[in-house]
Amino acid sequence: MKSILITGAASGIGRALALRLASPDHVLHLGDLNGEALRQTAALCQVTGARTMARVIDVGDAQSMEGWVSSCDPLDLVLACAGVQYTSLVGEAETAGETRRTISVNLGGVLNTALPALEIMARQPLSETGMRGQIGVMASQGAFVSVPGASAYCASKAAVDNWAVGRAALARRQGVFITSICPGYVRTPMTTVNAFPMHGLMEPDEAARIILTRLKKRPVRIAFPWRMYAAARFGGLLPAGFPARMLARNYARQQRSR
Amino acid sequence: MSRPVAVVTGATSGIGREIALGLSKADHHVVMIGRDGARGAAAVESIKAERPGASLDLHLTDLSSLADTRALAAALIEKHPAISLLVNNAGVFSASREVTGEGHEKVLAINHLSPFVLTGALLPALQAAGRARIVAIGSDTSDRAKIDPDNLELERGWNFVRAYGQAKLAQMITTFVLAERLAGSGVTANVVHPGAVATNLIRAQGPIGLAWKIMAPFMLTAREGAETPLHVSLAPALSEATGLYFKARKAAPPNPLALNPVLRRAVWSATEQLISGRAMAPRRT
Repeated sequence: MKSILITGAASGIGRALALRLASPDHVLHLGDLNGEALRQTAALCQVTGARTMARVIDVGDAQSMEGWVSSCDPLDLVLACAGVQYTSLVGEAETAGETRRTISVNLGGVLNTALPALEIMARQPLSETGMRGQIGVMASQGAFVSVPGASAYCASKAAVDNWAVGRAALARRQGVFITSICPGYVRTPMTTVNAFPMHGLMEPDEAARIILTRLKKRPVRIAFPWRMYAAARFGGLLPAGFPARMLARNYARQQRSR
Repeated sequence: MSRPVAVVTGATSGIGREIALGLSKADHHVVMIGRDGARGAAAVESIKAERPGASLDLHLTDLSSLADTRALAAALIEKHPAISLLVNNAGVFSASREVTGEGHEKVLAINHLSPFVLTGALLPALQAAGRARIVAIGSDTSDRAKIDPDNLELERGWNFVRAYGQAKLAQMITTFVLAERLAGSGVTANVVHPGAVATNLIRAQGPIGLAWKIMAPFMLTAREGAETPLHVSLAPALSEATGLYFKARKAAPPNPLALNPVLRRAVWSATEQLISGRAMAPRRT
């Protein structure tokens, strides 16, 4: 019996991961702010025999997260998927409130999930495969390019990726494996704000399949689709600010031609 | 033993009223959802006249609003922790593109988004019943319809046939996906074409309404239209049947698009996007 905790399980990739992981030998601890949709995820997971425990919770709230994650002890796999994005490439910056909320949910939420989980996992016995536990945190390809209009989102995801990649090196010495998950565009409620054609747009179920397949190899980072990852990494070689200015200018030009 | 609980949307007139009557005759407690109080009261009275002792509840909800649909679902679950049958019957037809207060195209909102929200929110109660059925009233206009998951709202190229056909096809697709996800759970989900029925859908004004009125004498009555939905809702032989499309009491081949796995996933996630309450960005193509 494996114990799995997923945040952001009410929709998008979090829900898709929960559905794929729903089986009689898994206990799923599902958390999200949207109670109605969370109960739906739980109901669908029960169909395939999973035991589910749903918790309506704000991942940005460190104290209640600490309480919830600790109550789920033991934990074999933790997937911190909860995240928000308020605007996109629209030539308009996130407001001060949106900026703070984005950092608090996307970065704070990941830490509020992963930190208590790390503590629990470090105390767990080593499995026969040499692992005490595994943690996947949801970053994004946005971690590698700062997009004007979504700079707080990209900053939060860059922070998540950086934290995970660095922390993973020490955690694996304890037998805990941390993975930064960097998807491209996935058709989820979050990407509804994107007003541009999304290259390589993928269904949540496909993203979940890729993530779960690659997690088995315990990598430090999972990034897909690879073309977008290559483009993002190449963009990183250009002078700072250049890709962002190009994107902003390109957008302004498209606006004028509309 | 208490009666099994059935929820029927659009139950105050037309096929929905006949379904509610048929379920009452089959000793269900029927929760009727409608939007017009007077019509609702009249429907309750007429069912009770025909079936004395019928156990009925009437809820007035505007199903074009997803917020109202959610509130309805919460109230229903509160009152009935176990629901054995959900008939998503409410439907509209519109002569022009209208947008709801929540920004959704109205035909899509009522025929597809609202039932999707209601069904999802009632899932825990349907599963609590042990055995339950979800019946979506579709339409054979979906048989030849096309669908674009990126343009479910038909911001471009709206016309009434396309809007209705696409909404009904979207409803069929998500019902089939749900059936697949619920396989083995005791909860079934099917789509039913009731037949060409002269119902209040022909309240439409203008040439469309006139066309319907001319056709009316040649069409089925609402009672005949309720036959296949009632059969799929009640027949013991169909207790395991799921993910099927019924016409005239028999499983019929659906639009092949509804069987395309790639399209099915896209329509499902596009629907989840639409009901998430997030403003859709204007799409450029």
